[in-house]
Amino acid sequence: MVVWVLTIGALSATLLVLLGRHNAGRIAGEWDMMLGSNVLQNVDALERRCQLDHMMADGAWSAAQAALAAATSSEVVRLVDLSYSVLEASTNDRITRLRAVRVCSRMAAALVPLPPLVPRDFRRGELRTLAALSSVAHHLLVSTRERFVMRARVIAFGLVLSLRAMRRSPPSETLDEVLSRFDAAKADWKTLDLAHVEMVRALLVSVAAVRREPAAARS
Amino acid sequence: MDTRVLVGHAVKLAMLAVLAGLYVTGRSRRCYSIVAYLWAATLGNALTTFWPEVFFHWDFWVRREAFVSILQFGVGVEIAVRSLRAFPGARAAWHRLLVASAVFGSSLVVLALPRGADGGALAFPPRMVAATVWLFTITAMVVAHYRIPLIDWHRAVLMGLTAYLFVFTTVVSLLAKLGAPAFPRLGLCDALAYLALMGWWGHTAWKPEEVWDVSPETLRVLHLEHV
Repeated sequence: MVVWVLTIGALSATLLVLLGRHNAGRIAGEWDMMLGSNVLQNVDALERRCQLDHMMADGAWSAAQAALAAATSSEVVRLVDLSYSVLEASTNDRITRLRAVRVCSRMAAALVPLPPLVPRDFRRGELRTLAALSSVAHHLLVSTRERFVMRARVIAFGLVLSLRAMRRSPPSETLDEVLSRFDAAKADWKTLDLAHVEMVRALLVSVAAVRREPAAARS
Repeated sequence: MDTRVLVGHAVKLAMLAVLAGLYVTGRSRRCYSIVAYLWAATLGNALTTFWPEVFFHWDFWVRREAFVSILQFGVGVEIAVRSLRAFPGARAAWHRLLVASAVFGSSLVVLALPRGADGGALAFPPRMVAATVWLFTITAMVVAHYRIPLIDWHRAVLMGLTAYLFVFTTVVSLLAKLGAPAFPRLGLCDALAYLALMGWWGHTAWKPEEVWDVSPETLRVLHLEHV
């Protein structure tokens, strides 16, 4: 009998914790975001926002190049720092969204298959290696959802790696070398950012397509 | 009047208030088995409190609890089926967990059930309670993992019944250890816990349903339209 009491006590505690934290209104809101009629508009808005971030970072970068031509190194450093700040702030946003994408992928009964990241799309060696490894893992994983979740993790990790590459400035490097590395890392960051938008689009389309099927069949 | 009979009348009134709330707000259509369960529990309570000389004894209590346990299990099944019907992935996972639990659970029942003369009468309720609580917990895990929106009434039923069933199991466990002489005092504890449960359900049954900031189309697709 003691075994029964302990078992039921443990199960009850698990259930009370799980359902005690359950916020149906918020979860229904998430579903609405993915099933509502403005799904594609939401993705387009996200894409526009990402393009704006790219333009801000590129704008500061172009100004830094111009300052380099004018041989004002302090201005170059300030403008590169500005470009970095834009990407750093955006990275946190992307990582949070990718985490949400991973969680929300459980909501879809089936997911649109996405191709693995391609190494040749990246300019830096570490990102190329990461993409190659993820490509191998992609073929080893069985389900589409596992591949999807792994892709989201790889993109998030790649964004962090790119940001780290932009931040680094060993004393042995010249300003030209630092800028060249920054440019390459920024290009990789943008590639990963586009892949992140593609993931969001795939998730929303997957969830919406599966949900609308029975509704369409009834109508 | 005996305190136990007074508490019994209070429980009966609370159950009728819950039922009235369910019918008035339309929540009775959210889960038919909980309505059947409440009617059965009210009837059992009425028999015990109005004709105590006939029904207020050990054998009737054990049989009544066994019947009510089956209905509680049905409540768990209906809530799971209703909550997961719009989510095929979650429903498939729930089925898999249920089958696995049936296999392991049946083995555990054989191994862990108490043996001996006293275990016979009290063996069925803990068995059904364990199965019911396990079913509820599986449902809660699937709901949490797949991010399924659970309406407030279903949530209150699962949480309230689980908490009460833990008290009930403890009471039955003590009864098995202390024997029939402890029945009046432990029965009172059980009735008070049940009264608290009915108080919470009554509150939930009467309050208006939560209004979510969600489009009607989404509510329809997810089978969450307001009643």
